[in-house]
Amino acid sequence: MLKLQIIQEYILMACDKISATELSFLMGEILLENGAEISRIQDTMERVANFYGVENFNVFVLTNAIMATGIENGEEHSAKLKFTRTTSLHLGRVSAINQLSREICEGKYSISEAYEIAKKSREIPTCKKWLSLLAAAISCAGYCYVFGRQNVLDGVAALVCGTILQLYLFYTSENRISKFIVNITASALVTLVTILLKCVGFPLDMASVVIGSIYPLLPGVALTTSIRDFLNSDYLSGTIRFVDATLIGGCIAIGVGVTFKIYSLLGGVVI
Amino acid sequence: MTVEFVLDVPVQFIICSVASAAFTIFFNPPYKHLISAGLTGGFAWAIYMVLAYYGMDAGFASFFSTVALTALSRMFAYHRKAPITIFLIPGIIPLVPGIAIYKTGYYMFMSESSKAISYAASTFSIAIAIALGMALTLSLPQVLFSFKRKKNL
Repeated sequence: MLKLQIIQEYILMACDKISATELSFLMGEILLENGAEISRIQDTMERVANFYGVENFNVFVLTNAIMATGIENGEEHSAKLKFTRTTSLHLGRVSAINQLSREICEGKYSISEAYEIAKKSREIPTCKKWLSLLAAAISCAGYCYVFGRQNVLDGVAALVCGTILQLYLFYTSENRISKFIVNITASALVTLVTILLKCVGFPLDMASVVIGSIYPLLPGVALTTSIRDFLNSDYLSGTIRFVDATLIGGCIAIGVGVTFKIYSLLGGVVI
Repeated sequence: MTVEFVLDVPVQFIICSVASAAFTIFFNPPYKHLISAGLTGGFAWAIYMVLAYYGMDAGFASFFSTVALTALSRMFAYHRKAPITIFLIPGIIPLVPGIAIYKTGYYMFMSESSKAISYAASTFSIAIAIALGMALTLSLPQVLFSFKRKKNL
């Protein structure tokens, strides 16, 4: 009985000791989950591992998996594999890990301290609901004003559309609906609201309002990250994200187009 | 350049900056970088406006404004010690071909396929122009963007 306890304690102690490979893997995982580009992940993981003296450190990152191996104190800590779903961008966490790796390389932390900090930065909260509603409203209104015909009334309409769109996106994110359906229905919803506002009698330019309001859906992030992956010769990840961007763009076009088509079939005059 | 246009650029610059800063909130950035992020967006749009005003087509105008905004993002990233993504994304958003996507969808379903195809082509050419502009500027050596202000200026 006593022996068993000792063995258990020993195992616990062994588990407590965190290897540098694990630390670097955790940091890579957080970066990947929060939408950093592949080369940044690879670079950060290599830097951290090198600093703590991991030999033969090899890492391979894809858009949804990381594999890393390394030899530490003559022991091989190897081959981890983790599948992460394509996720949303969280710049706060990416930037926190970035800062951590900078500080690790300055020699500020021991491995376990760094591990704790990395764990904490994984829990940086996403922005509050009211804040993202406000953000959606302001950005839709602003973009509508700028890209449309510089009309304040259009901006106000886009503000309404943006708020409704964001509420709809909250609803879908809670219900795990397929991304394609979300994009088609969301852009259709925006178009529908615009048509309703127009029918009620506001002198709107529908094109401007719809264009401004679909900005939160546009695949700007996917496009940016895809380009940067291509540039760093991560062609596989770049292709995955580029296909993603193209499909999202297509979905938005379909959503807007179908709604206008139905409206014109019902006898409405578009534009 | 007419007086109206000269007055219009700063107004749109401010509005676009505010919109871009608001847009960045979606991605939960560290809030201390929000103003610089917004400014990048406004700057990109202001340059695009001026280029478009002088009759440059959408592809070229997107290319040159992407080059400018990427350079600006790299300077911000260096001086504020933050990942460049924070500044790049709000900067790119105003240039993303939202208008072209909208028109593609619109004409596709209004049975005007020749217009739809031409807007689809324009969507891709803008996307590729953004890609090339960013590729070019990101692969320039860091030295160009990491200059420090001289003290005795």
